[in-house]
Amino acid sequence: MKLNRAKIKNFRLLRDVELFLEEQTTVIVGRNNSGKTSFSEVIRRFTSDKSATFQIQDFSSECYDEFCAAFKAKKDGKEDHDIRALLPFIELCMFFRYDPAQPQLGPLGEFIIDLDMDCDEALVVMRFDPIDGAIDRLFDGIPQGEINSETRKVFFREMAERVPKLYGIKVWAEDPNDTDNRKESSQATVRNLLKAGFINAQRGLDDITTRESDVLAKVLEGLFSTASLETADEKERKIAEQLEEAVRAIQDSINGDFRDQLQQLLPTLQTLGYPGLGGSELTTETTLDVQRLLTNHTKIRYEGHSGVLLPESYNGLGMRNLIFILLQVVSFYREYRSLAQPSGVHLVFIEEPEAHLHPQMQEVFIRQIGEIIEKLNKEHEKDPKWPVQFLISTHSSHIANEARFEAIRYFLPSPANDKATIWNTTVKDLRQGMFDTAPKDKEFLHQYLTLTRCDLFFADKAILIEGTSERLMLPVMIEKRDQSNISGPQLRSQYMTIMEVGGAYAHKFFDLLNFLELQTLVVTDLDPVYAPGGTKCLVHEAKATSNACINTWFGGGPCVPNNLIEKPEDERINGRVRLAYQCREVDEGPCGRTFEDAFLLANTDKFGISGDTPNALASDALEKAETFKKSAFALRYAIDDTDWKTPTYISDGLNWLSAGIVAPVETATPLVEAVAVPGAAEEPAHD
Amino acid sequence: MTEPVKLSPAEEASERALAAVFQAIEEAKSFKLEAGAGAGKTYSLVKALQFLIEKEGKHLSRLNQRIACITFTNAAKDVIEDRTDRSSVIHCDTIHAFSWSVISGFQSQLRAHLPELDGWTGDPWAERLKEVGGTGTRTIEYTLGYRGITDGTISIHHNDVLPLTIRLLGYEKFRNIFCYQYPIILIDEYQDTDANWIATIREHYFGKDGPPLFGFFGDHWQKIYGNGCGELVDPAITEIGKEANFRSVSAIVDCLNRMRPELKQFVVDPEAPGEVRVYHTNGW
Repeated sequence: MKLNRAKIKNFRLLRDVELFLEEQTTVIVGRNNSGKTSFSEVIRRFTSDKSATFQIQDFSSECYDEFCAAFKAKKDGKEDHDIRALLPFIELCMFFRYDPAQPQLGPLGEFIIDLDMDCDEALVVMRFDPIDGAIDRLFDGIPQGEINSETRKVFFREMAERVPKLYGIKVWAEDPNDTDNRKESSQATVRNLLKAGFINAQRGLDDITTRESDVLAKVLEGLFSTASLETADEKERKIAEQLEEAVRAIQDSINGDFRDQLQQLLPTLQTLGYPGLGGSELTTETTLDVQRLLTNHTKIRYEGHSGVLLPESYNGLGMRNLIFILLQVVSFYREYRSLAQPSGVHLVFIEEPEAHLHPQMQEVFIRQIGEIIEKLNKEHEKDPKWPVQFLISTHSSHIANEARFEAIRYFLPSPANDKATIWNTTVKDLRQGMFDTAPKDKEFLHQYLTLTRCDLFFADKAILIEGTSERLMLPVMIEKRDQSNISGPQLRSQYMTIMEVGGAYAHKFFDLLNFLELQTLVVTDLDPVYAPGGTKCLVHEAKATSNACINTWFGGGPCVPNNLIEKPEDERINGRVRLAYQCREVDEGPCGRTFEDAFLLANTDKFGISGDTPNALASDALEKAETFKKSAFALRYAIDDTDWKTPTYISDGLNWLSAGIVAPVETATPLVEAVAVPGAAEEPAHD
Repeated sequence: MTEPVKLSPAEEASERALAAVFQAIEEAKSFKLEAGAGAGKTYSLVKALQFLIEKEGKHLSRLNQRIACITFTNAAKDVIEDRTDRSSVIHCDTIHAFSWSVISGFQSQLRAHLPELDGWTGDPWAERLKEVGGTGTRTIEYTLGYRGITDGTISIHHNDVLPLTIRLLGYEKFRNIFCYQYPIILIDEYQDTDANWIATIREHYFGKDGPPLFGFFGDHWQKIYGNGCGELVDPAITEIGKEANFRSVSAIVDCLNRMRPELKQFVVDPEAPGEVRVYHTNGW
């Protein structure tokens, strides 16, 4: 059995998302503020032991209009039934997969209510919904009249107070093929089925302001508590018992000599001479228990040189971080083994495991975690395997690239309305999205991303370029573009990833880029040749291009460069990807064949390019360009001498790239602030 | 040192039967314990349950599985629960209550099959349901014990529970779920258990590999009710005779043994006096 997918509705940025989980490890990637933390948060809230409540701020922004619509329906005297249908709710749907032929159901049995052999999923719905009969009270006493920007604030201040009181959590099992077929259940029943553990990004490891940060010692305490449970694994229980035995022995001896001495410190009550006080004398009893010994008097130490023990915080942050995560995983494992009725699925969320780790260690993390599970399982070979499913959210391209595409879920914030004032998250599933991509190409992409440490998954936009010259000079070109249009969107304030791919491979990225909905500029070269497979030549002499990317883009047949440069812009845009190759700087002027040619032709005076005809100019540029050493050329004009004009094909491309909208880094809308309840519990930031 | 207690013939027979029951459980073979009146059948059932709790209890409860113990009366259920310390791994109930607990979650199939049932005398469910526009999304309940239809619920009768259970057992997925949840099913007074129910169980589970393991306790000579299954003979079921009689003296048991030679019984005290008197009446 495993948790196959989860659907979330109306929780913060997660207006309506579905996420498929991998058998063992699912990697969640995405830039900041894309709802990654919200995903673990909503599961934490619904499955926590404490009665979970949601605040009005937890509703997706679009729900606010739904509250207003429900209020309007109430004013219009609609039936409660209709009003309820309008009111927004926060919902978590979990689909568990099992084998109907050999059901190893465990606690899932409670949730299977269909008898269709073809249906291998059981659906558990948890919904934060208005409690029965609450609709009147929800809107009671709210001033009548239209909701405008003024009354809206008052309305939501009221809603903020009432929603936590008048909403509650309902839980039921639902037939995945028949929404009418339901069976009521409870949060407690779900907790038997699904256990969730969290290793948060804030682990307090680097917090040196609080006393000594003995985070690892805390984990040790946790391990002891688990081991002393009635239901714990026998071996561990024995250790816990022996610990307690040892402490009891100390306590006994303390209560011997120690007490006699201590006793002498206490004045006898009789000496105080107060009538009636002398009857019973005071005595002392010292109690010790393992838990408190661990909490207050036990520290984790590292063995240093010459027998000197080093405190926990003397080890590097990275090592401590790694040890901390691994110990936590072990403690989750022990916790699972000590359950009298083991849960069917154990979800473990690990946020940003990369913290403080150097890149090589980040890369091994994903691989390592699988091996650790195997080792742990070996301790209990006779028992069923630990049904753990990891959800790792990361900002590390090293971790993301190391995971296979199939395991990656890409959280993409996209505008929910035309004006892009409201954003919500779309989850892109690379297992499904890349399904049609040939395995060979997938392997190429995977290798490429790993080798180049590419941060494609965290960027707002991408630029694919040919080589070193562009890479070195592009930053200056971007700066020049931004300065030429100060009032427009600035490219430098957007997070861009630049990939040196080259015309031979760029097209292999198109599937992935379009799937990620990443606005991308592909800067390539015309690469004119006399004939297909022939030698290179000037643009006007060419009958074909040797550039695979261009040939693929325009579909098969040989592309005559002279025709290519006449292509209208819309033919060079496909989805979110735009192709850029050399063009004429002036009408009827010459056209370069490579970046260097085009650069010289864009700055003819600076480089003294001369010729009577456009073709002669092109020829001169080619000759001059070939005398330059590429990297020296690029470095010179990237650093020492930046007084030049960007070739038109690149500046046009950059203008196009700058125009696309980008998810804001802060999404707190004024409305949310306006309804913030004073003194309400501070919730963790969105991401 | 205590003297080894000398067992009476009845006790010896009882131990033999119990050992055979334990062996069947160990070998995961379904069995039938045939025990005449006064043989201490309930004692054997409780012993079997205790043996199972000891051997499988922890394991089963970790897998969220339980042992079903189906009794004929609520009184018997109380006795057995008392003697097994109300262990959470045992689900002891009458056949109706037990069956309802396993089928009640599958409302959509219950709704689909209810119209096939006879219902009121001469007034089948189908007719009644037609009057209210079909089952719709009404919840089917078995709390009142008499039939009724309201806006939101349909209440079924005692006599509807087993026919519905039998229909659900026709679904492969239901059978899979059922035998996962109850890998061991012990049935007290099997001879009076609904014949159709037994026939369905027999059709789907007997002679197939794997769970559930059935243990039938009873005596087909003591069948009281007309719709009970009576004698149960199947190659998949290991027959165990409980050749003890703790209730009667030799004179009576000897007489019984002559009447029913296939289930020879042993008494507690062969020396105890007693006599058999036969009263005979014509035209009764």
